[in-house]
Amino acid sequence: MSPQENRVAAELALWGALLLFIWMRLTDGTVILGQSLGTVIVEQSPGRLLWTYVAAGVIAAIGQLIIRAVVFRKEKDAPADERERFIERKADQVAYGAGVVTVHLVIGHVLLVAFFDRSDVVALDFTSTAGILLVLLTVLLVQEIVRGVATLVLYRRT
Amino acid sequence: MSREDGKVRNRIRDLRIERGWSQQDLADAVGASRQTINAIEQEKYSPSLELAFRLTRVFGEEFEEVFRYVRGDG
Repeated sequence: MSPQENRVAAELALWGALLLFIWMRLTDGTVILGQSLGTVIVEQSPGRLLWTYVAAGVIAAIGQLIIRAVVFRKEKDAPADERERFIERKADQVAYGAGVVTVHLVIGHVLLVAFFDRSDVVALDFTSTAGILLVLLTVLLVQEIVRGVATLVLYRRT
Repeated sequence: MSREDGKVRNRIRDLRIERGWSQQDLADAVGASRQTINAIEQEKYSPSLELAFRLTRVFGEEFEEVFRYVRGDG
């Protein structure tokens, strides 16, 4: 794998871990790795929500710094060429499409909950502060994960 | 005007091997990565005009001796 592919794969692992962290912090259900994760959004104090948001940002920043520090020297030796830039552009397009689809799915979900007025029938009621934080961070991370997967697939196919 | 489907074929692998160059040698000569040269040789990726001209110049060949456009599946 090229240095660029190594970086993308490492970032993909980071975004996956971050998504798991956020869902563990904000939802309840099955216990995985000593943490609860599921389809019930747990209401929390604004302070705890802020802590989750800041912690996610710190994890993302530190993770990125470590990845760049490990891979950066190799990338500097072999800067991205036109094919790699082409792959990045294509992956950005795919990620944008995934973001749009995810937002529409969330809109559909919110309307479904509102329409039936039964959050016990439709799991994951996003119409709360914790729900909004969860869904916005999830959309952002899904976009990043799709971008990473698309990049790795395009490196194999292009 | 009807749209014509076709594919850009190239002789880069043959020309490179004739000259005894590795993919990395060629990549360094044209300012691309070895993976990009490999993708071009396998015709998975069509290079930009700029890179195509650089490749042609490095081989010292006419453009159409290196690249050709083939109609259909060719």
